[in-house]
Amino acid sequence: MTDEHESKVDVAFLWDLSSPQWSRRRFLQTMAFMGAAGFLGVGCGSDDGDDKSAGPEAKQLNFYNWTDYIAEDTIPGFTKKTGIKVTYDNYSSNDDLFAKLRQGSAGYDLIVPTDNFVVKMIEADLLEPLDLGMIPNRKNLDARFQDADYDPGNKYSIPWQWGTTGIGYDPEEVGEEVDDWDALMLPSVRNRSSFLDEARDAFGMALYAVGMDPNSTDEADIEEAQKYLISLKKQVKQITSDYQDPLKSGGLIMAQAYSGDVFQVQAENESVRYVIPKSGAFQWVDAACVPKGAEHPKNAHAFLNYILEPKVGAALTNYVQYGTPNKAALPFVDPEVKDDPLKTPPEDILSKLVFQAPLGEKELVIADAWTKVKTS
Amino acid sequence: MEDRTPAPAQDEGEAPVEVGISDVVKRFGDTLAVDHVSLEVRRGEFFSFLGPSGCGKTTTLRLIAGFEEVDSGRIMLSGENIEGVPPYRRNANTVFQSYALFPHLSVWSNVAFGLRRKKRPKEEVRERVGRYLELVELTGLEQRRPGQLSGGQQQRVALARALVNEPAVLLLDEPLGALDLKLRKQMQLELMRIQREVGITFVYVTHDQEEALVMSDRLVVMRAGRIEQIGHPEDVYERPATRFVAGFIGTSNIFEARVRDRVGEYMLLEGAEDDRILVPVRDGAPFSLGDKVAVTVRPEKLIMVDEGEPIGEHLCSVGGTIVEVVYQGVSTQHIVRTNAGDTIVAFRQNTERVRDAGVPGTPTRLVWDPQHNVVLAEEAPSAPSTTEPEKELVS
Amino acid sequence: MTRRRKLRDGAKAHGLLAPTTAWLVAFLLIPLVIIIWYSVGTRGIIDPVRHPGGKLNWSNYGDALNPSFLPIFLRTVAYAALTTVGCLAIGFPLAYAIARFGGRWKNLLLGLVILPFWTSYLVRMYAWRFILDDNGLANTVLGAVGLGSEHRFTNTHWAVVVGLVYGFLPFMVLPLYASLERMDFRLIEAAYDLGSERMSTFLRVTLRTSLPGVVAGVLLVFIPALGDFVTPQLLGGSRTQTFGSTIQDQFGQGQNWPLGSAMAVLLMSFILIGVFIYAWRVGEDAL
Repeated sequence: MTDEHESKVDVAFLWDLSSPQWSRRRFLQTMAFMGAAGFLGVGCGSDDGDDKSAGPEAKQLNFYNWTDYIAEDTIPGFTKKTGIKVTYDNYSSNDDLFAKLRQGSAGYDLIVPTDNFVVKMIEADLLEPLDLGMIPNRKNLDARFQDADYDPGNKYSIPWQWGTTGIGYDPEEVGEEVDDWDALMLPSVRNRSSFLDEARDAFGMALYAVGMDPNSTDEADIEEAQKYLISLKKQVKQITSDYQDPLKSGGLIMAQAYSGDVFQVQAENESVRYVIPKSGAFQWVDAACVPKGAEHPKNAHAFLNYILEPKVGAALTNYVQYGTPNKAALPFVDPEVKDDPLKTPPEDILSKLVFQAPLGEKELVIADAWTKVKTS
Repeated sequence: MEDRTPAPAQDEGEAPVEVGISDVVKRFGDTLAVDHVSLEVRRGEFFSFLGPSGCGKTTTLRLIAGFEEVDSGRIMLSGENIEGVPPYRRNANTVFQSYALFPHLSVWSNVAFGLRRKKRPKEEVRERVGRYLELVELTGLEQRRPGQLSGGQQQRVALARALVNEPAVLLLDEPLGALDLKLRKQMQLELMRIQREVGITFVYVTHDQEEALVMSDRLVVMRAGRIEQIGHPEDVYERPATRFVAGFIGTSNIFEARVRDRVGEYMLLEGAEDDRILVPVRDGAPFSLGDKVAVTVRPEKLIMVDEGEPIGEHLCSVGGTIVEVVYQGVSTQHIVRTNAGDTIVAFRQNTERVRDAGVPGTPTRLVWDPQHNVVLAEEAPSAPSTTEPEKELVS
Repeated sequence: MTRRRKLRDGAKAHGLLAPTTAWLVAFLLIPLVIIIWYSVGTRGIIDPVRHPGGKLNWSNYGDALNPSFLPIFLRTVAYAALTTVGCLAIGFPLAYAIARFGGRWKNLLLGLVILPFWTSYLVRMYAWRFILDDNGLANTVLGAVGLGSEHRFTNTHWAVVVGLVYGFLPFMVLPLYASLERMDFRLIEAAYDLGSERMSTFLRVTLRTSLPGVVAGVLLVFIPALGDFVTPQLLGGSRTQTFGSTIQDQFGQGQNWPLGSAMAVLLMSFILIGVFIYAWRVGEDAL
């Protein structure tokens, strides 16, 4: 009946705070004590002194790869052949992969970063040099990939798949066929288009669109590209690398996209097409590497050699619809891939494709410009 | 709708009706909480609703306050029909059983609440709040929160909070229920004093018959949604209309017997040998020979005499055996089993120190004036019986 | 009290506190210190944060306070504020109804409110996308009743707010319920009796006595909503970038961990100051 005096919020019941042994001082003491203990605990670090004995490895491989980037029979085939069990995890951004590696001891034996990140990882000393003697199938690689700029001599990486960054779109919805980057400014795609949430890719496109070198670090060029992107941002629906489902369902009718992704969508929605803009486009390679401190490097090498087998390489390409770096695999690749100039570009188109050049410290200029675009 | 308001009691004719309840019915689901109740409360009265739980007294109070609406019938407040008028526009204030003080407000703010809602000027608020706090003797505690007060103090804040608005009617819903006995008795007198000082009509609900008898100018006894009896406390006590009222208020002794003979203005009832029970003929309702009658007499009217003592012809007399003697400090209670087989109770005030209370098992005789006998109806009459003040019987 | 007893009780107290303190230190204190440490660092390509020569770099705070970030910051505050208001508007009647009229269904009803929490936040937001998409449920239903089916719901500010309100509603309902449940509803009758009209009673009595719940609910909604970047990304688009997304970007493509850290610290400070002012104005009691 006299419950009106329960006006105050009842404070902790766990202990009687009003009893005399409790005081603010004691509370702070406890906190300080725990804090010190905590810091010591953290400080003692995670380094447990690597003592990798040179003995035989367990029959295990921890493989960290992009999503939707392997054929159904690739891993089963490997396991059947070697008896090595594979744990397969996925990531969807180079940044995430890089961050994980930087923390150390991620526990993976094999990763597949994109070429520009291979460069960064080499510089950050995060990769194990490859024992090329264990990968005789390396000779199957197309010459173009055997001595690439990002990793001369394949010292650290074996190419997985390569592709281009162009435009995926639905010509019927757009109303016309397009052939260059300025298509994103078309009125018919207003609010139904997207460009990539990647600084270099977006700026590359913008630089192409304003007639500059996509790898330019000139401040004036970058500023112009920035302006272009800011105005393009007003036209697009989203800035995203997650365009596959919307392209398939019609939520997006045009997207700056990676080649293989678009071909995968095309398999389910025939009206979607891919185009390599005639001003030029980035090409890129995803390359498989062994991170430093991997527990099963030998197994990793075995897998690398396996993936370079002609039939295996062909199966991979046929499934993920990206370009194969494996010359020996070409005879086994589906004609619809082999003969498609978009999927297997001929020389004249190849000459217009460029890799993302490593920019060193200048990359920060682009990063800052990107922030300005995102926050405009 | 036919107006079935009963004829008002004559001597109250001066004061106007403050609360008029006409043939009000209120249902909750299948239950009939208030069953065709009609009564009038006069201005300045201390009027009580008395009855057991569930009799409809609180419901009636809530109907007056406006927390419920009548299903049929009419309630008039200060001459105006208040049907459909929400509580915040009625000129009545309630003192709740649980006090319902605002926990986040000080005593002062609680009391000032109603005045502030009516946007009274600051000066007036200050003056009135101060005055009423003084009236309930809580000066000095203005800044306290309800949680810091005792039960009795909270009760007084609730009272002040309602009174300060000087409503036409103050409604009190068993406000003293939570207090201990001593405090309760104290507060009863306090409330009476305050009511007299302030002059506002009080409508008081209680299940404590003693409380109702002490405090009220008039009271109504209710049972199962109907009125059993309305009247002044003395009348209701001395002249209960029904069995229920007789039993509910005080202790009663009930004799049931047939009419044997007519003796002057009295009826003589059948009883045991040597017993004589006379019932005055009253209210123009003569009983015929052979009719069965229920009669009640209050215990304090019975006088114990020793066997063999001469008894006046005009007095009632009943013989029996003492079954139990209960010493109550102020009085002694004797429980007697009559020769006719009834169990009756007699009170005796201990004017002298008790030396010979009587021993269980002893035969005894109880004697009393037949004027104290009241004939009981079985049920409440359809029009409530308003007992008039006792008229001197022409002997 | 004997000395030994004092020591024993003291140890008991420390012991009882230990798990919570350890948790707070590990997951609140240490990360906080790390972020503050980062915020005075220098950015790098290979090493995302450096402190060359042990020098403290305060310029990040200057960069973080760049006025070009202001529109985004204001937008974020607006989202959080609208979300809070929306949650209050929907949550208060809901909590009130359950507390006052729930009867023996109270626990069941509360359970229903919490039920969405059993699903991942991301999945629930995707569900909203499914509803709000151009070919989604909303357009289909509206089309079926003849209100047109070509409405654009996604990539709008309102889609973001709807998603946020939906996601944070339980955080508002639960503390409100806890507060309202303990309220003596007879106070409302008392207020009516004393002449207080419906709205006045609601404000002065109901709201006032449930204020602790309101304060808790507001804080529990506003603060996380301020930092949310998932919902704006999923249900919004290029135009609904929030401060949280900007911070996240700095740790990704923006390649400026120190700047991101400085922004995070500033956001936290802003929230702390706001909370203190709010508590001071609304009443220490309520907190």
